[in-house]
Amino acid sequence: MRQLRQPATASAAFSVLVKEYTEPLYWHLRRLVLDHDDANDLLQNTFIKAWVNIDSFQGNSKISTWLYRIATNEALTFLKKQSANEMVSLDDDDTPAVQLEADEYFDGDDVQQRLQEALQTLPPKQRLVFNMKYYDEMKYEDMSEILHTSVGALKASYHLAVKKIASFFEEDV
Amino acid sequence: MTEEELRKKIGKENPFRVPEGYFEGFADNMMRLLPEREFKEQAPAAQPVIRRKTWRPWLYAAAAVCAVAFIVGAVHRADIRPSDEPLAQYTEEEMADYMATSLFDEYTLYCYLTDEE
Repeated sequence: MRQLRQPATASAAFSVLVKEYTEPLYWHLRRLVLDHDDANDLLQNTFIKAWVNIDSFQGNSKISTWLYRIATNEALTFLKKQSANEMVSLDDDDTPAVQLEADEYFDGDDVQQRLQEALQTLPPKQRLVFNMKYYDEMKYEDMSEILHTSVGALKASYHLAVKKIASFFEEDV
Repeated sequence: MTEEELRKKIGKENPFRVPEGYFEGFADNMMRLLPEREFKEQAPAAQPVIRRKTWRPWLYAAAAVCAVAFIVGAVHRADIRPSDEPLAQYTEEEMADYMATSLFDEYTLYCYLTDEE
């Protein structure tokens, strides 16, 4: 941390941080926003905010927790704006699920496509909890620090998400 | 559908891809995008603070002890200094015995006895 705050060593130390957290943060963002370019923009914003505000990081939590928190806030703000834009737009082609079909960086089969559609029906925070638990296999305690939500509420949110996704697939049968 | 059944159905594989070389080049591109940052002045490393009020009394006490030791030593030395009694009180034989058992060599002893004569 000291290196990140010293002018002579800050850049090199931050570069190490970027290299270490690029992939996990990217996938965290990509699963939420689906589109590569959006995930890339949000990832860049995350690192820029971390760089500019590094002095505000008190070290009370792990730096990974702090980075995930910035990334999550960026993603939720983005999704909120996106949702507002969708409300204005009447064009069905703007929905993320439809966009996914045309995404050259999506290789999923029918089940994966349906899963993404199911996830889109969840509120963003519930989707976030599902992704962090199911894909990232993150502990509830760590999620609690990132999302500032109690462990009990996170468990409830995850089980509700699983139930909704299961119901979505059951309707298909 | 149970959670286990759902897990079997959807698996955990990642259906998303990234452009080729994206992760490899990201860090370098990212570092170029970072804006100038103002650094807060760092507090200097903690220096040991010498508190005069703390060490001064000890210095004075040490000086006082040294002074007392010096005075006591000087007085003691004065006490053990050979007396000014005249050598005449010793006989020549006593003198010769003393000098013979001292570190004087024979030549010095000879000179001394010769001068006396």
